[in-house]
Amino acid sequence: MKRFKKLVKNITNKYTKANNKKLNNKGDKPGRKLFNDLDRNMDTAKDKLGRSMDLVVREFKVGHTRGALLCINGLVNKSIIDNHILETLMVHSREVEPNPVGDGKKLLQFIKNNTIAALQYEETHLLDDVLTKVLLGYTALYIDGLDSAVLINTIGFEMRAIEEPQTEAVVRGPREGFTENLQLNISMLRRKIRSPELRLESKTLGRFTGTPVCIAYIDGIVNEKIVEEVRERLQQVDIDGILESGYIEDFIEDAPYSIFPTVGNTEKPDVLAAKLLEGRVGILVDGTPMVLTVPYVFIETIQSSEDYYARWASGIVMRMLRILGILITTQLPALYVATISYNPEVMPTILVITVAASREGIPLPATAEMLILGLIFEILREAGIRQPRPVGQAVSIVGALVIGEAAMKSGLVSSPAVMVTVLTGIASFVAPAQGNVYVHVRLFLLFVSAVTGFLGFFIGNLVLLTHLVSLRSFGVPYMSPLGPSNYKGWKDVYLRVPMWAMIDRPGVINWKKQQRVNKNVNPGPPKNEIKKEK
Amino acid sequence: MSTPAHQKTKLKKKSEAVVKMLEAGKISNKQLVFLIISILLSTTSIFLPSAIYQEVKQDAWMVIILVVLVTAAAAFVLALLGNRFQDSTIIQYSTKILGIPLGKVVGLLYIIYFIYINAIIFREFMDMITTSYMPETPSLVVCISLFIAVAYLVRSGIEVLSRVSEITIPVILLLLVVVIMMVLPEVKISNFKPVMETGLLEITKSIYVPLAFFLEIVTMLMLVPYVNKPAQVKRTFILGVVISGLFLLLIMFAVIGVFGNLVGSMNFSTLRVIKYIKLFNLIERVEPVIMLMWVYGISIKIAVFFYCSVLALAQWLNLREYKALVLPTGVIIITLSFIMWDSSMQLKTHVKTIAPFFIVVEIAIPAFLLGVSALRGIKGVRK
Repeated sequence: MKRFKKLVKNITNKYTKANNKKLNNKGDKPGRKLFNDLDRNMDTAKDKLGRSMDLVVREFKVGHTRGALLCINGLVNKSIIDNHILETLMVHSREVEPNPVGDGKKLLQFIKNNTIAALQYEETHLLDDVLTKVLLGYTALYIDGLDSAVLINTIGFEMRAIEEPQTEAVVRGPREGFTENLQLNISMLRRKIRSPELRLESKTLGRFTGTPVCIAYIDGIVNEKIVEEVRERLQQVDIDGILESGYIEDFIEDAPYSIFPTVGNTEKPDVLAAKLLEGRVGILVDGTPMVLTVPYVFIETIQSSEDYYARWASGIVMRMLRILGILITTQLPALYVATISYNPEVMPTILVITVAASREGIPLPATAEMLILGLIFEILREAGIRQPRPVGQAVSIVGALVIGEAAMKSGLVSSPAVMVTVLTGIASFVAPAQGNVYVHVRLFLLFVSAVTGFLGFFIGNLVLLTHLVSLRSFGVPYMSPLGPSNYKGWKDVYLRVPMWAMIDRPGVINWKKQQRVNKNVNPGPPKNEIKKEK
Repeated sequence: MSTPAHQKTKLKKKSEAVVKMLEAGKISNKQLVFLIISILLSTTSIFLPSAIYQEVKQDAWMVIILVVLVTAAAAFVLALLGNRFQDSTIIQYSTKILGIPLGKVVGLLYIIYFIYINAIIFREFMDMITTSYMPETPSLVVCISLFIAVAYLVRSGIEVLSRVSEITIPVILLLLVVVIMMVLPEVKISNFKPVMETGLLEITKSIYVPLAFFLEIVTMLMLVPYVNKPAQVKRTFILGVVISGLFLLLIMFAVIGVFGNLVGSMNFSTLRVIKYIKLFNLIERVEPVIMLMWVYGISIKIAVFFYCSVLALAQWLNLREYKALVLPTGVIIITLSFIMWDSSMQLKTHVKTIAPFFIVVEIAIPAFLLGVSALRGIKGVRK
């Protein structure tokens, strides 16, 4: 047995070592250099890109020397190339300097200094550089007789406009949501936090997709250890492609086997800004509007940006409703089953009689009833989401009619069970961020209460609580500030106290004590207010 | 007799390493208060009211005040011992104080004590559930479902255990207050009269059973090395005792006030009180609320004792890990809880006879250890 283990260890070691070597080699290799000859350069570039159909090569003359532009159709802004590169190279340069400009090097210097009317460019001698940049939307400028190319930033492609996100709709508050473009997303974040302390670190992940990823945090607020941990975990991501931030989430989670997420996400710049201001770290991924935020604690499930934009009184009401919603959606079916099948005497007498009357002649036990109705509800929900909107509505209406009316009238299910299921389902929309997590919780509790009634119900909850409390997200206990308790942090848990009373940043995330509000400011009329005399 | 200096440091290092390896968690003093409340209040609130009432009738509340005072004094002594050895548990420093053979005997005594108490609580819980809530459910089902939750808690470590207590205990205390407020209309002051009917002597005599329950605070000597600020442990212990005493007094007040003479003949008088709640014809029969309180309170209490017994066993045997002991110890506890007593009445009388022995383990031995260590000048590392 021991020998076998050793063997396995050896093999895995070898494999990982070899793999590492390969990766390192790839990174360290200087790459192929460019040639002196324009035609050879063009040929190799075309070959490397597989003579792709969207590859554009435009040959022209700068004065008497041949030159060529290489770019990919669709990734570049054509008007920049037409007006600020081609026109200046072909026409203006001749007007300014009618005579040929010496040799190639001087010509290149001249072009760089006098003709390229674009903000960002760089010079390179390596083919790999040219290829990666061209694939990002740069345009490569070759001059005959030179072993270098100028890469000009001409990135410009069609993208979705900034819209109001569907997932985090608000009544009060900014309507803009992130888009699929990383640059635009970052600029939206910059427009929220206009501080030089906002740090944006770039990274490229995905062997084939080469997806740009950005770590965002605010220096001086964030806990450096968490940033370091984020960097390390992102370093470990090794996958062929990253199409959505969910891919990254799977790699950097603390509890990969738990049903509860330990990485948060948001689609709104204002929410991200608020989280960064509390000391969290954001991970923006190109190609998706969903931005990851870490560390993520359970309480964030019931916090919504609107709690803070609305007045504190309505903020408290909203938060209480959300807590109630979560309790209902997870506990109600189990409670119903435990009551009906084990201890019906806990209900008031009249209610018992009513429920018993409506359950008369129902062929299914309460548990099966709950399970089947719950399943139907989930199917309807899923069908409604994936369908085009008009169809989805039709599905919902027909489904609701089928369950609500037909099933009840035909005597297959009892009306209390339908009520419980509908209430459970509706309540799950109160905290939409984790709507699907609660299905697991609900089923688990339903199962234990079906087996051992109220005892199982309570013990099931205890097991859940134990699990929740044992989780961590980037070093932060998942259930804080409830357990380990931090009573100062409770200002933003069950309640939402006025902004001027939330003096410190949540102590859970950054261990340093940091004031975010001036302690001495208390709103109200000034003490020396001049009263109008009647 | 003196060991060479380098060997001494080596020994010290080794013992420290064992502490670190067994449990790396840290808990705050606040969490310790909640743990103390959970172990002091959850069983006493069910069983003590009728047990004390049988002895001294309507003066039972005085017994509780007396018990709290005595326990607070004892907790002070225990805290002194814990303070003296801030880096190790009672299992570890008993060998330091008394030498290897005698110290190991003391350690074994505590392990047996933890397991014994745990078996008693398991049995009490089973009896309560099967007689009051689920008469048709086999006790083994109750036992095993509780055991699953508790074993999970214990395996998750002291940090998780104390966090769970920190979240649940305040809710339980709040519910307790609400429930007792609802009973208030039923309380009759005449039930408390005449005061001091049995006399001071009887009251003092009847304190030893509740004292045995309350002195379970000795368990906390297993947790002192994992506390954030071990220097403040005195305050923590006494705070825990006083809070639990106050709540027990509240329960006692409600029980006597509602039932008067009937309390003595009831098994679970606190449970019966709850059945009296009737508000607006809507809120009635809220027993599941009480069940919630007890399932959580008792689970945490069992978990604390369970944790202490496996930790003590691991330290006693010089093991590197305690998690492997959870299942075997659990099997022993469950088996004991089934075979030791035939009925809950037998359990009651048994507890009465064994209470003096418990008190010896709970306070006499720690006091003895404290005295010997003070005489021999043995001290642990201060943090």
